[in-house]
Amino acid sequence: MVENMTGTLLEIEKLKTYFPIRSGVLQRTVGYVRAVDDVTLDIEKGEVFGLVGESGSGKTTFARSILRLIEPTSGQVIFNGTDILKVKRNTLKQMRRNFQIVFQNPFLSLNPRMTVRNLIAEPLRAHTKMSATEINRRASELLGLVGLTSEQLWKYSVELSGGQAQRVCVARALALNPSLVVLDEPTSSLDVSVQAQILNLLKDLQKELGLTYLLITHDLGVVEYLVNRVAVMYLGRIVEIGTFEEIFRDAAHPYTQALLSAVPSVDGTPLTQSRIILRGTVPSAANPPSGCTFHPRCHKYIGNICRDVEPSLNPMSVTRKVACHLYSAK
Amino acid sequence: MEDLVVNFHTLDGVVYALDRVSLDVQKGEILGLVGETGCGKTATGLAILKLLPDNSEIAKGRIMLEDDDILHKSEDEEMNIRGRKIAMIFQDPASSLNPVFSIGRQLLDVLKIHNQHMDEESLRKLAYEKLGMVELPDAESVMDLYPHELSGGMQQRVMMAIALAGSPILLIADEPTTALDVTIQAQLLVLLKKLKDTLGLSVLLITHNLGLVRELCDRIAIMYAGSVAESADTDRIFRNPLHPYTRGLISSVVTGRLRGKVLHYIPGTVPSLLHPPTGCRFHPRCAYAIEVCKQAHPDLLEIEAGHFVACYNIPKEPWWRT
Amino acid sequence: MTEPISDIVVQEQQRFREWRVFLKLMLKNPLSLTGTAIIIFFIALAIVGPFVAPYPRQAEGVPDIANQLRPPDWEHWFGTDELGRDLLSRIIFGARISLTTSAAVVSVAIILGMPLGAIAGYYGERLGAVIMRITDMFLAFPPLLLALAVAATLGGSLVNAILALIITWWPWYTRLAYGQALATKNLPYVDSARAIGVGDARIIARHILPATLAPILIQATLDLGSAIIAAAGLSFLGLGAQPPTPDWGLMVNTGKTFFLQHWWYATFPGLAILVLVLGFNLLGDAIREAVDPKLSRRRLI
Repeated sequence: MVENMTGTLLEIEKLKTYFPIRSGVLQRTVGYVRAVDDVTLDIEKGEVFGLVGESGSGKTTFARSILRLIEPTSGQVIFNGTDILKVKRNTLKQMRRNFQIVFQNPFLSLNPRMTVRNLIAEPLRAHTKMSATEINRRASELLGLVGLTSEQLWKYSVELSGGQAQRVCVARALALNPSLVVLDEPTSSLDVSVQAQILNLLKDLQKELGLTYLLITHDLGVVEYLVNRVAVMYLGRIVEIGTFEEIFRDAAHPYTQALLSAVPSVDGTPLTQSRIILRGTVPSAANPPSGCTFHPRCHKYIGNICRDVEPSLNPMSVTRKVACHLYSAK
Repeated sequence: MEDLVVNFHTLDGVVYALDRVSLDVQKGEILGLVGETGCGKTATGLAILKLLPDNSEIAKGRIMLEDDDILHKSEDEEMNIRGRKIAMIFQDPASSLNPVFSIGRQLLDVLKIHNQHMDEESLRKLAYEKLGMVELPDAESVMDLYPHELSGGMQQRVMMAIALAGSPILLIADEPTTALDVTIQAQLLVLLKKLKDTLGLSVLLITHNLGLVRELCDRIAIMYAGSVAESADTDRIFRNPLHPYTRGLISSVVTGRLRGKVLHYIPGTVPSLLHPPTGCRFHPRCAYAIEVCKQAHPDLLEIEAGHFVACYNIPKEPWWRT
Repeated sequence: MTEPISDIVVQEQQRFREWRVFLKLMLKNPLSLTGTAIIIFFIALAIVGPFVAPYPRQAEGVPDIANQLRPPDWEHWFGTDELGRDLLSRIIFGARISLTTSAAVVSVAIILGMPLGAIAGYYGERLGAVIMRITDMFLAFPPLLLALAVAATLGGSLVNAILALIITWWPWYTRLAYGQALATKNLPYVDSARAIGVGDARIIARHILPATLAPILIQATLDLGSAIIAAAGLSFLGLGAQPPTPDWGLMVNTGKTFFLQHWWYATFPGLAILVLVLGFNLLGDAIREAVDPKLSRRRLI
């Protein structure tokens, strides 16, 4: 039931995660891979926020950075008023109840030597003092929530199908009633018909439990189906944020336009009318182009400004922001 | 390919991987072989070039290339076909390219095999030509690079150049873009179309991506659990799919159009091919299954012109999604 | 960007079925059967030996000078030593010593080395580097030399020999565990556990250590054989078991002085060592072959 679910759940300010590149006998730092390069965005309570980007965009590093599975280099990640990046280990551990993550490959996310029951018990044991019976009860409850039966409790992940295994991952993520669930390519390693089942499940759960999702994926069909708002990432930076209508019907940033037009569609019409083919390939995040990092491949390049000046993320409307010189006020 | 039957002998028993697969690729067309994992589409591709693993057995069937039976050839004759008449590229270009040799070296090696009488100079020119065909800019410097210095998209283009080295008439592409970004995929799509138009290259494209085949392929064959369920022109398949599995498959593809609606999906899971269901392998999950479906596997019959379906009970309802 | 799920499923199912396949392969392999048979035989000997040996008190050291240095005959199948003690009985008792020695060495080395390697691998960076450099230091010594040095310092006795060997052996397990820990710590299921908020200790215990077990067990089987030889070597040099203990290495040592005229004295204990170690090696090799994922006969599709 989604009632009065307003307010910002997660505020990310100027997040940077740079990985040092070491070289030479003394392992001196010669440069940095700018995986996440100054990202600022807010996630509202109860919404489904999509983050799209291709490989090298930094979206996976971003997900792990905001959950502090990797230590970011600088910036703030404010969850319900507290900056996760600054708290002590113990407090962080307590806070983890509130935000969970579901990874792409269910078979690699579940320890193959543990039974489903123990896998679901893990979060419960880490944070509560529930007895074995209570754990069993709660585990059955969670399995029911994701559409599995109690029989599955005693199986090993290896004995499950892809869809079932992913459901177990979801059940595990929900065990402690988090408010935020990060979904990192939740359906990308599943077959088409199984994807549909899992997406139905995710949608239902969101409504039933009032969850907030951060959905990270490269599959634009899934994004368009599920999200309220979308951010597009390129080389560690956000190039555009907006509601799904704004982005999918009327993309502003040239990269977004190219991305949308590149998706081959089952329905016969590409998402945007003309097919834009980008030149070249994604540059390395260790040595990004100057100015607007997209400029070498941009089909709407306007001139030296694109090469020299990095565009900032400016608002285009109440809900929309773009980082492109085409739209900066003179 | 006609009625191809392939079995794998494993420690757990016999896996009935391909159960009378029949399909054909016309000259200069791109045929999409579509299916989910475990349907046997990769095995089909490998069977054509006799690249199946040692524990496999081609029990029955024929594979004809231009009216020539290629299934029962000697090793020498087989070498003539592999790379020369039929070439294959795979999903992950990084593992198909040898990391210790430069691109130029690998390309030249293949060219030398197919053009034994040529001298160094002409071979190099030929290499540049092939690299140009796959639209790799600056061929000369690319030749000196090593595979890890190239991006995924470029590596795949190099694979295509190597595949084209013997000037094949048929290219089998097994999930060539699955490991690549969608923008790079778009580039390769355009390239494949171009090669079809300029070289008259026929392509057997193996993939699970329905959107991709809709954009690229002239005809499509849908595979399920080891046999072809339906095959027809692309347009026809999408406008009016007849086989229940095809309908189920296309309905489950997630797009924004379905926003707000509950997604369709096919109940159940893909059967294990160690103990496949009797009769039509799709019957346990099929909403239209009737008695005969359990008894015998339906033949692939031409229901309308050019539209083949293997089903005893084709749904009568019109197709809802266009 | 996405790995087809069937590959992962096949891999995992393969690992799951591995036990069944493993047993099948082991039972089919004649070498593994031989090795296992040998080991079981010696274990049985160690257990029931004292009840089966023809001259148990002589085995423990009671001499019978009248019968000294008798060649093998119907009363003494393996002959007697210089104090008239029946060699067969002494060898039977010696089985117990050899097996307990090697088991002690290997198990304590694992108990010390495995967690150390797992911790080094999981934490990496400084802690890992420090641990591994210390490990490398120990590894740099030629094993037997190190054992000799320690045993010589501590004085010759079976217990000291065992200690010396433990000190020599633990680094190998640390290194094995370290490698496996490095590979495992980046797997998504470890990340998942961290995201859930599971403490480091639990993660290492439940997720990292079990993954390190497999290669360590294989190595351990082979090491059981090597430990016997090493212990025998130390005893041979006088740094291990002391008389009148019926230790095989000690017997070979004493026997060598009588070798030219009384060949049986050094030969039978030596053979005992040979056969038992052979058994461990055969079994270890068979296990290694059976577990090798690259063998084509094990491939599914």
